Amino acid sequence: MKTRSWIILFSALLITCLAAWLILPGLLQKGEVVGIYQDGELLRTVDLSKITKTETMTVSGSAGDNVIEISPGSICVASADCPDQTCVKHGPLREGGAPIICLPNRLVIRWMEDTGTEYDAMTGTQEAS
Amino acid sequence: MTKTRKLTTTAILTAAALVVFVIESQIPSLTSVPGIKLGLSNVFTLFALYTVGAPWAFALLLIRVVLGGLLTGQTMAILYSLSGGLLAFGAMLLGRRLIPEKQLWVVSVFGAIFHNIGQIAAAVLITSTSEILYYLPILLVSAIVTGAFTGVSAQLVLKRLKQSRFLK
Repeated sequence: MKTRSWIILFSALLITCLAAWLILPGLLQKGEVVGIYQDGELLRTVDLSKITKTETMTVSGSAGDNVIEISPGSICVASADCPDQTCVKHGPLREGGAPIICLPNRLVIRWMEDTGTEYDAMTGTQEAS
Repeated sequence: MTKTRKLTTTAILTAAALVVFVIESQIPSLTSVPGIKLGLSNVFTLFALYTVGAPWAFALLLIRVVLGGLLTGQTMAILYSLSGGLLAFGAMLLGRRLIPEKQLWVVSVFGAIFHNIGQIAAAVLITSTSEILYYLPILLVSAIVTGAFTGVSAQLVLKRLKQSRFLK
């Protein structure tokens, strides 16, 4: 294959991947409901549009604690005990954005794909049973 | 190239790869996506693959991954690096057979792509968190860019050193 063909092939792949990165999370997101997962299990769901005051939630794992800050319309990891701080640097979970992931504690905060469940109208939250 | 010459060349390349790896690990990450880095030490793996041969390059890779992980204190990263490194090595070995040396950078891009796929696969399996796959598209973007860069570097070094007496 000619060098020019390789460049075209890789450029096409690059643009496809970039588009997938930007568009994919937005396509999966439905509504304002966020799920907090650890080890692949749903710990809690939060409807950000129904949160009225800022609260924090601590999740413990093998690498220490993650402090999750839930405020009206926004959720982020405020602090973490792990050395890499990837989840803190991620900042708030953006509309249609990629999930917040803490690899050392296997914690994932992402937009829910399905909003079929009933939520508590008073607090906008639902504890997983 | 004699066997002793190959051994010493591999030793020098391994040492250089380790130094580059440690220096690179000290550079703060530009993005909030884990796993995005230049991967300069792959220049040495590629270079070894094309000069001293596959078994030596494989030894270089293994030593660099294990010692690099221990030197930077990221022992968990060894597992990710190893899975990425082995897959990348396989891809580059195949690429070397199919793609002419003039297009070494293409082999490097394939190596980088498979390195990141291997790394993500290891992360998904180890942490049982399939959401990490969200990172795959952006890691592939990074792989194409950094793979081309490191590949061109390796290609230029190889071309220059072939003209000198270093590789005789």
